[in-house]
Amino acid sequence: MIKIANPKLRREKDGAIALINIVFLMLIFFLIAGTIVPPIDNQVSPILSKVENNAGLENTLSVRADGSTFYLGNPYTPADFVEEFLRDSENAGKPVRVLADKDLSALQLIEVVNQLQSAGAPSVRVIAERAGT
Amino acid sequence: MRIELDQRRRKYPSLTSLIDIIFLLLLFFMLSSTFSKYSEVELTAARIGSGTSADRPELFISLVGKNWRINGEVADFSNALEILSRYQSDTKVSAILRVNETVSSQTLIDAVELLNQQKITVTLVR
Repeated sequence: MIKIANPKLRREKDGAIALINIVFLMLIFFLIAGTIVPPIDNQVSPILSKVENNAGLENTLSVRADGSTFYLGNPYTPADFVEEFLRDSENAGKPVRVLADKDLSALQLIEVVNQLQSAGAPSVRVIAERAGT
Repeated sequence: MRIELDQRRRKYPSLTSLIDIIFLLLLFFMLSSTFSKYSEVELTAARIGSGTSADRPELFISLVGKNWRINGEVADFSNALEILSRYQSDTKVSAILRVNETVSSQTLIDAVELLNQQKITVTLVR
């Protein structure tokens, strides 16, 4: 019996295994350390805060520095936003969130909060980014 | 003549497809995840006719720029706490917070957070 060596066996896979190890470690790091959030308005620089309570970012109306309000990238009035929010029966009793620009005039922010409450939002919370982490 | 091919050939499937998938997963998680954390502050704006004389607030605070006025006393962010501690009591303290047009949202939220830490209920008016 004659054994014929398979030349394909001699391929170099040591480099590939090292690469896969690193990529795998990075994958696990991002899986654990990062959290997936719904996209937030990139024209808003959020208010900074030192208070620690983890907030979700669902149902967030963003208010830009000039006072214009957006929901998921589209211009929305606070009243329309609340109407859409309340149309989903799962949202009953849940808070409405506002992502306000830190340079927005406080009067305009209060005006938006007022409009959200008048439109029937159960409670209004303002989102702030955790500072100094 | 019987020729026996090397059997070890089938032990390792190609790594390239595995790398492809892992690389795609890595790219997805790198782009979609964020490391910034968010917190939230509840705001209540005053509504017409919502108050009764029974729950008259103990504190009237107005913000002008970075300055505070607590029941007439002028303060700023650093010594506001000192003045507020004088109004502390066992019962719930409520406050009316009024801002003018020079105040930014950042200053407003800082003030509301400070008041909430002192267990003071805040109602915003314009």
